[in-house]
Amino acid sequence: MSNLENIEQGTSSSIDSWSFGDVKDYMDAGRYVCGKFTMPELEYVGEILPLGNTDLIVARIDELNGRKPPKAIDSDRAVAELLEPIKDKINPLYLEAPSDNVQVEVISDVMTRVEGLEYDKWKGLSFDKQMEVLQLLENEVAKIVHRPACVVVSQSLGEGHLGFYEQGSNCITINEDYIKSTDCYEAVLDTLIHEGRHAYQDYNLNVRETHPRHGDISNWNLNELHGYQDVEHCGFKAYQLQPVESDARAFAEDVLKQYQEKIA
Amino acid sequence: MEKIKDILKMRGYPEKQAFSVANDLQEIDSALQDALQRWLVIEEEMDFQIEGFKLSELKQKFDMTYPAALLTMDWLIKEPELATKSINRGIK
Repeated sequence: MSNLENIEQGTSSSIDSWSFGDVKDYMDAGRYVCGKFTMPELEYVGEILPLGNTDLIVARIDELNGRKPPKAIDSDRAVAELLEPIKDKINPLYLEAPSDNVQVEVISDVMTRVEGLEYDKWKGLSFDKQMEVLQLLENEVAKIVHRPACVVVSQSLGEGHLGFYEQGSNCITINEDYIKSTDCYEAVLDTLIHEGRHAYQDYNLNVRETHPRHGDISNWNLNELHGYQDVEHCGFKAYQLQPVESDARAFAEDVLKQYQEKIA
Repeated sequence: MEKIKDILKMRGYPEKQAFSVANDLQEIDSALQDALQRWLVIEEEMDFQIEGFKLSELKQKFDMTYPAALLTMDWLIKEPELATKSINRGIK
């Protein structure tokens, strides 16, 4: 079975068997569609695949893309197919994230399996255990959406302030008064997913563009241009309607809605 | 517009936010115009209650500036259901 057949059948193959010839065969087979890389560029990537050095592979693809922040290394279809046999060896942080619909579906699924997250168990947990459960969920969410996991911490933030994501420290803070109140169980879960989405936006805007819809990222970027509209200076309307907030709110609502449906 | 922006900057607003807030303040409901003018001229903070929300309480609870609270009251006048839902959801 040739490597090209492996790609077509979606099976994995040893990376040692890749060579220039494979790239050439792949190109000759007319499979290079909708990609932006030229034949010599694909060869440049293909020649190092047998080395199995994923750092080098990432560096070469980033170099060819020439973007800041770089895109997911498999965002070009031709390169994605070249990488298919070794994809499971590459850190997902470099790979294109699933679509929002898939993210919502998989996260809500995972939520049904996280021990202690179900309300009846949650309300009986100690505060420290609740924090562990929230961190566990954050770790799972980060894996699903291809971004680094944040550290989840708590702090008393005052009424009406549920939490925040801090750029740079990669930290999600949740208001501890809300965690301690069982009435606020849903608001806490919503806040964790909401802040996690901000971490995802930040990763895509500043580290690597792994989100599959560039139009969404352009919208989030409007916040960079016009500045973040915080409630303190701009009031609730400007805060609520800005792209990064409306996106995070909608995403968290979708996840929570699907989770509630799954546990009903 | 430029005059409002300058006042906002003078009272601590960053450039980008001063621009967008000044823009929004220009469209403020006529019921709030007098309060806006008083704040711009003599920095007096008139209080109101709209849809059950008191400006001074919102301002304190969410650490808002007076113009930010005024714009929130404006939203409560123009789109009461949306604004109420958003305020009750809090900041995250």
